[in-house]
Amino acid sequence: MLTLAWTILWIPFIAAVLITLFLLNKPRAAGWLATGVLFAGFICTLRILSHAQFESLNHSPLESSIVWLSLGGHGVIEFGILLNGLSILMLLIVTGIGSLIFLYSISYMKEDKSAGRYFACLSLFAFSMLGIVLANNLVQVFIFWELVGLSSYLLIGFWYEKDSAAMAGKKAFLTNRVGDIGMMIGILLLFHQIATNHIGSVNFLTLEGRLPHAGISEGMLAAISLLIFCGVMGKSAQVPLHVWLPDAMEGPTPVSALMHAATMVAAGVFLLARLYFLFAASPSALHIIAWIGVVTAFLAGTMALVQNDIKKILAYSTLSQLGYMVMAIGLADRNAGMFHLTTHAFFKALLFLAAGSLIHGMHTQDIWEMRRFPKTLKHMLVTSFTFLMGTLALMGIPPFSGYFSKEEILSAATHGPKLLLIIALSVVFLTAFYMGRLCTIVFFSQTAKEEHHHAHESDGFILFPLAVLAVFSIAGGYLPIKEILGHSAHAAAHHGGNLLAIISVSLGLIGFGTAFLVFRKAQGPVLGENSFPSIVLDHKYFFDELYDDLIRYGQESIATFSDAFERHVVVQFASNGTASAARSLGQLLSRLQTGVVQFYALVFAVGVTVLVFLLMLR
Amino acid sequence: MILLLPWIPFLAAFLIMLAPREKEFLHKQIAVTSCAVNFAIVLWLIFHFHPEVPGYQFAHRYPWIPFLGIHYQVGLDGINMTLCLLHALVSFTGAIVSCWPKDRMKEYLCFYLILTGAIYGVFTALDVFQLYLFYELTLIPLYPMIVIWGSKNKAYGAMKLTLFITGGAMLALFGILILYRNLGLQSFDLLEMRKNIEILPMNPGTVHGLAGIFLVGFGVIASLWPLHSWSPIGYAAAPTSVSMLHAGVLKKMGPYLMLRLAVALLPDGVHYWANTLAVLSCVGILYAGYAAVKQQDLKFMIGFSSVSHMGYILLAIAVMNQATLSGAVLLMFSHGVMAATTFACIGFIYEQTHARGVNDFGGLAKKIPFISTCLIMASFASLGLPGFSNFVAELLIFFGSWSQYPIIVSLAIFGVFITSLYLLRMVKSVCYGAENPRWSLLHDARTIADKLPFVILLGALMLFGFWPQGLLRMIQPAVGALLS
Repeated sequence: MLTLAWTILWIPFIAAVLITLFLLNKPRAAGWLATGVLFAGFICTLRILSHAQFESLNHSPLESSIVWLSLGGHGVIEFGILLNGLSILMLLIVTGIGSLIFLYSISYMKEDKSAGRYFACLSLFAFSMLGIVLANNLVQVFIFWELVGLSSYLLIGFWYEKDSAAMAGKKAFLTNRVGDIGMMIGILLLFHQIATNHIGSVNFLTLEGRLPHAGISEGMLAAISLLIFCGVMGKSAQVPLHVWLPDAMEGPTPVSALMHAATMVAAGVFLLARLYFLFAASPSALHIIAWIGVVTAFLAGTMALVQNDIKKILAYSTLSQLGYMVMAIGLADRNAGMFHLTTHAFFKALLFLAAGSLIHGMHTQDIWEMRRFPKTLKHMLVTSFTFLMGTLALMGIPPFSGYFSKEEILSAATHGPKLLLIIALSVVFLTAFYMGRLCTIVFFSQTAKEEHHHAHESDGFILFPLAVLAVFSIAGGYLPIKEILGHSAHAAAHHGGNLLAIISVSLGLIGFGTAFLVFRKAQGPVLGENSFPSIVLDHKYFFDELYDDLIRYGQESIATFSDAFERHVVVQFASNGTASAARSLGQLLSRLQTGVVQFYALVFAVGVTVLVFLLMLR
Repeated sequence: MILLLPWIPFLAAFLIMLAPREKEFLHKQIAVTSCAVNFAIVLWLIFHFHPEVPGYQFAHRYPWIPFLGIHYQVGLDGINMTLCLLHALVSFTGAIVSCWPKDRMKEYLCFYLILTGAIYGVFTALDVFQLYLFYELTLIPLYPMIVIWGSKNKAYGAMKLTLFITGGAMLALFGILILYRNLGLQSFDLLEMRKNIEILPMNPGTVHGLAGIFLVGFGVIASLWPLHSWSPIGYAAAPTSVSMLHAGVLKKMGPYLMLRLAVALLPDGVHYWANTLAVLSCVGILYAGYAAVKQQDLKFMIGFSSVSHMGYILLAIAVMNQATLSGAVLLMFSHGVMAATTFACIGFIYEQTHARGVNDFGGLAKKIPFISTCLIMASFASLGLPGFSNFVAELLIFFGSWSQYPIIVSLAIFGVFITSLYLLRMVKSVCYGAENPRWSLLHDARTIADKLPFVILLGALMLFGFWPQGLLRMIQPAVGALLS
């Protein structure tokens, strides 16, 4: 089983290396190699799944590791893998959904000259994500965490000749790095706090074993948890580090699907689940995490209301759903968070891939432009149908998969503060409303069509993944995810289920219905451009502006100061000043060089006399 | 074998001097071959090096100036073995880069080989006098190389670099003489000095003073803030292979000699200055990082970047435990290789365009994919991406220093973020974006000889990034011996 897991980890890396070395100019071969390798990983995962006894695996996980780095008397850092229900579930998501997206990419990227590079980066991305999933210690997670950052940088900026793409890649990487500063500090703090006899550890199992006896104060635990959570905020794009995710739409659409479903943003939530024992030890940290989650869910939900780019709407929707997941874990219901992560991976991958197919068929990303196409439902039957399936799942309409996971989360929220529950419920309405707006405008708009526009359906490579994902979006709720994860000790006893379900489903239906009525005949954005909400929402609550100002007035002025200090003080004053002082002294002394030999002889004689005199005295 | 290391390049320089001026190809052959032979010797030494054996290996000792107790003495432990490997990598690739077309190739290669040999001399010597001699010898070829083959403001840069480093060296010499006198040992032998100090401790005041002198004297070449200002301008003015050797290897002599003379002989003195050194190194990390953000010239940017990175090494020396010092040695290696790669990339572009402003380019990734990839990889190595050994080294330093200086370590981690800030900005404006029509004639590295230096350097970084124990298994015992 462990051998299989090692294989799953390394084959995408080998594929990435092989593609870089030999297949950069053979996109088709590169695509098949990358897809085949990841699919092989999926088969291996299924094999693991069929042999796994989750009962025992969750109680005592399988571990295999080598010493990677010795810290010279402070302990060691391993490189290893840890298999339990959580990692197997994530393996399924990453390899399964990943290989569908890879397959889709073969057709989607077939006209791009750099597709070889694309598949190399894609394989690297899969490798990094698998590394996070399988890692048995925190430093290894950090290593692959950074590699995920690198691969997202390369993929978001894939079309780097476009300035906006290059900017977006840079922004994603840097925003993630901000979170990683906190994470690294958190790891260091944890390592030293947990140390016995100065020997610390970052191994998950050791940490879990030592934590109850380490006698770390509550405040320190909260600090460590929140610092590590900084990393999660970066990767899983929680407010206030969410700004990179919408911009990340600059990458090719399958990359968005990959990032939003199987990799990258899932990494943060996964880490929360992986380190749940740490977070659970600090109720105050959990409390803050839950609030950050719900605020993210709400803000992102509102921002999605005014977007006109189909990918951006989906991006904000991802943000909002990630907020849900983080909130669930913050409310001490780890399984609900992971459950939603799984179902969300299905339907969000589906939505993005279907959106990609729409974009492919209509050559535009703007929903108002898409509106002009006549009979989209008929011309792009499979795409439209699967997109609608994904929408229903996202809205949480029974019996689609999203319904089950969302119910879990909402019932976890009933244990939290009332306000939190109310906001969480309002997000259900927001979700339904912005998805309703999107679907109404693109598929059901009753405005004038332009008949010469003709949407064309995509080919089989694109439709097959859509179909598979649609099946899972519909039926994913029945998957035995709880059995895989095991019943965590903190799973809340769910009650009040029926009432909650009725409220949330009706909120969803009302949201969709309202949107349908409002946008059925709309020709353009409904809110006036200068109305207060649209100004705030168009500027995305001014986060970008705020950060730009912070960079401009904060960072840049420190940089300017350093530079000026260097030029004027260090160089001009200190070193050139010393030099010119030395030069003036030299000129002064050079006056002594009169060139008159007698004068020299006189000085010499005096000097010798003085010296001899001094020596005689001793 | 080890005795040959400095003398093969010297001999090669002599041969080139004898060879007729027209036979430029022969000069190049001699230069590259001699560096390749040295590279092979170093690899041979590494394969025959036994990390578990304590003390210096391959040691030789011959009397040289007996009445002053001066020996010609060489030997390797894990620390200078690693640095010899660094120098072997950089000097070999630098020799290939030196062969890029230029005027007066013959003289350039002669100077280059003398410099190379002298650095080998420093890294293998175990007698302080001999070591100092080689150390001063490295300065001699540098000045003419920068003044004759340099670019932009080269006279100022060369003068400043030489004066600063000479000043530091003078101070260090002063310290060495005091040490020699105080020990009353009549010997410059490092091992004997060490033994003697353990038996007969010097008085604390002298120890503190001496440690201070060594830290400042060698701090100059290690670009300790605020003594760093020679470094960016010096690199900017120097020709490519000199920048490679200087930023890559010469600069590492500073921390190396700190380890050998200050940490090994005067640990109490280093403890005394630890807080000051840690604060200065932290200031250096942040200050130079921010200054790099503002630079418009690529070489200046990388110059400040190297000042910033040296801060991590100096911080490690201030903390002085096994984790940090092995991190420091690994970072000397990694930063050396990385800086050499970066300068080689910039040099490659500069040779053709005579431009190196951050905003002069654009779209190079399409135009010269190979060199751009190398530049991007080197940048990511520099900003501490896992997979390159720089990350491992920084990790060791952070883990080792945390319990002593948590705040400084946090700031240093923030320094890594600043590094990514300016490097990604640089990558974006140089490699990405639309192609700049000005450089339509620019061509990529095409031949194997063009590509080889980059492949070797980046390969080494990645090899030890994946397998850090490969170097650390040599470094850690040596550092342990240094501290015991």
